[in-house]
Amino acid sequence: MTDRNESEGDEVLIKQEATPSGEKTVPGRFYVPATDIVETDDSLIMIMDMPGTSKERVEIRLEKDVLTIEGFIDADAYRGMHPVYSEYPLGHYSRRFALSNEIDQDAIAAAMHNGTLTLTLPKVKALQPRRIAVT
Amino acid sequence: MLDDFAETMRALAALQSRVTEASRRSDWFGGRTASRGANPPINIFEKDHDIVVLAEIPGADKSDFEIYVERDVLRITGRRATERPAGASAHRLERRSFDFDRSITLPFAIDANSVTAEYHDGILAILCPREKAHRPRAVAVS
Repeated sequence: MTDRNESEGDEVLIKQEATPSGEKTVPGRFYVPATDIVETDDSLIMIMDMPGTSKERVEIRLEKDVLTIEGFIDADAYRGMHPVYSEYPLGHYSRRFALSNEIDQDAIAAAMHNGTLTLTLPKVKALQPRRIAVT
Repeated sequence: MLDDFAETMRALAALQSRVTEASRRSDWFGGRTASRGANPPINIFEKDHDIVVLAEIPGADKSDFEIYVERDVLRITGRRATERPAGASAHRLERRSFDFDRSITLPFAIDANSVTAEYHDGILAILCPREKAHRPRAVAVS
């Protein structure tokens, strides 16, 4: 991990509320996790900011090439706490991505670290780019 | 288990409305200059007679933060760097790197020696106990 994304000024970070796709089964607001998607020779890597969630509270589902990621925050962590001032809303996270069938869907791996989810989606072997040597 | 979950979710919906309500009030800081609108965005909760300042800073490391307290001013400095694997090409880059240095003037003096901070799941939480002289005292009616 070396290339660093440069900061884009001092704009204040604002959470984007998710547009519901279908009826949610749990009450509460959902937000769109800021996501980076990068591609290496052998996989697509998705990095998502989901502060307040832990690996036990993230659900990743794959149905018909649609990858759905949901992260839930823990209201219990706020027990006995009374909000007096607020600049950012609290909520769960939800986002969907359509995957191409070039992804080896059985080999998707996920890791959660300090509120950031990293998904590694390996490309199907036959489709990995070959470096052609000029002879 | 499911009941617990539903209960938790109801608690969350209630919490969300209370937080939204708090975001509409701006008088908590009184006449002091609140540095509203700087990064990182903060939420402030009261817990017993102390306050908890929370900031969402995902993907950082606890060594990235420095926190200073002086009387009623809490200063949070640090950085959040987004990184990607070397040589990877980008399809979408929404996550931002940022450095921050934010001072928050609280409406009461803080007991600097008992301030504690934690960083879990991408949330920085700073527990600020009031200075003893500023804590509410129970007054017995005699």
